[in-house]
Amino acid sequence: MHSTIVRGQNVFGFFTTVCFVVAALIAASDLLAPRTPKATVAVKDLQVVRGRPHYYSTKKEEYAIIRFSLSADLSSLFSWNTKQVFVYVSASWPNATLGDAGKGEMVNEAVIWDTIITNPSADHLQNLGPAAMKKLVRSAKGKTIDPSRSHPRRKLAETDNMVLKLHYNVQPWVGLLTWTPQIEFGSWKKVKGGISKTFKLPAIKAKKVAEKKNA
Amino acid sequence: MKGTVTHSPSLRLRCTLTKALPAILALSTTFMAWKGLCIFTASPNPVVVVVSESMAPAFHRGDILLLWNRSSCVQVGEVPVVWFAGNPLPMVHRAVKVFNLDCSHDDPSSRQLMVTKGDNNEFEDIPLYPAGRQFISRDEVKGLVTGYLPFLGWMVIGLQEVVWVKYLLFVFASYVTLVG
Repeated sequence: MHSTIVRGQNVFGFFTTVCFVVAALIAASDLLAPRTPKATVAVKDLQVVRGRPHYYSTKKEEYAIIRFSLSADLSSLFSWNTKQVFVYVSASWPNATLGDAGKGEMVNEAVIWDTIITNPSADHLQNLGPAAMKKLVRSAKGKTIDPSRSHPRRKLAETDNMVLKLHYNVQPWVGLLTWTPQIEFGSWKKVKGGISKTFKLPAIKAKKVAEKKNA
Repeated sequence: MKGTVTHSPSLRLRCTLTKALPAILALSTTFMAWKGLCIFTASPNPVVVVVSESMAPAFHRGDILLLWNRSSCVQVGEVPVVWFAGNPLPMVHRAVKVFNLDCSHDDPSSRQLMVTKGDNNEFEDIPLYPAGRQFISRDEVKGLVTGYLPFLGWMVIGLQEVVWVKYLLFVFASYVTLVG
């Protein structure tokens, strides 16, 4: 009963129990911190071009180029248990093949822009470190948006009822991952705003432009 | 008759078996707990250990992820764990494109298609999919990441990659159960 091994087992067992209880308490403390993010998303410019996914591809696909402006205040998402916040803007559009049944929840959705915010002081995207800032600037201007790249129908032009939405995913140091809430939950509010007006993609742009964009 | 204990072979076998019972009990309890978790989360692998840095800084090597597989459709931004048939390890990457095709379709593989990308990777995962594949279907997703525990997975990685740790633990466990 009082051998070294038994004592060692007891100490280790107690240690793991304490660890798990502390971790559970930290995870539960997330619920106490209010989350009141707000954002505005506005579409600036729309284009649809034809191009190839890679040099050797023989199939042409349609690419949507969506320029938008985003202004968001996510500072309330940062608590002591926030490891990072993954912020992303998605474009979603109803499934044309389903007709009326395609409206509502059954939509196609593609992330067109994303960024990772790890630093609590970077919640306004102004106080980012040099490496993160470089990555953000590149992601904001370089990655022309191509939700069609892998769209099964490879067609996007004149898609109607498209909408841009801001989402976030809070990654904790320990505990449950949380996404943009669909319902208000305690002190966690929905994103105030964060949805653009619905818009329709234009017809395909002249070929000259397509080549320039894919160069 | 008192005091005349005969050590017949059958009695000795019975003694050994009785001593081994706690060890067998511990093993079967663990197994049952695992299978119970599988049923509860509807996932064949309810707990996975991260082995690559492709989702850094969200998940690092050695972190433990808890999965949940009871939502019928994956949303963009969620992190599905995909395990292709024949691959030695699962892939934990974020879903960036989701196409809901026909939810009433009989074949679950043609209800929803998705494309994934690691947060720390520059490009989408299409080259990592089995040859010729452009999408993942819902039935290849073994679960969505819902819970996160840092560092604990190093025990598993240690067990798998440092061989002598495994033997040491086995010897220690048998010593404790049979002798201690």
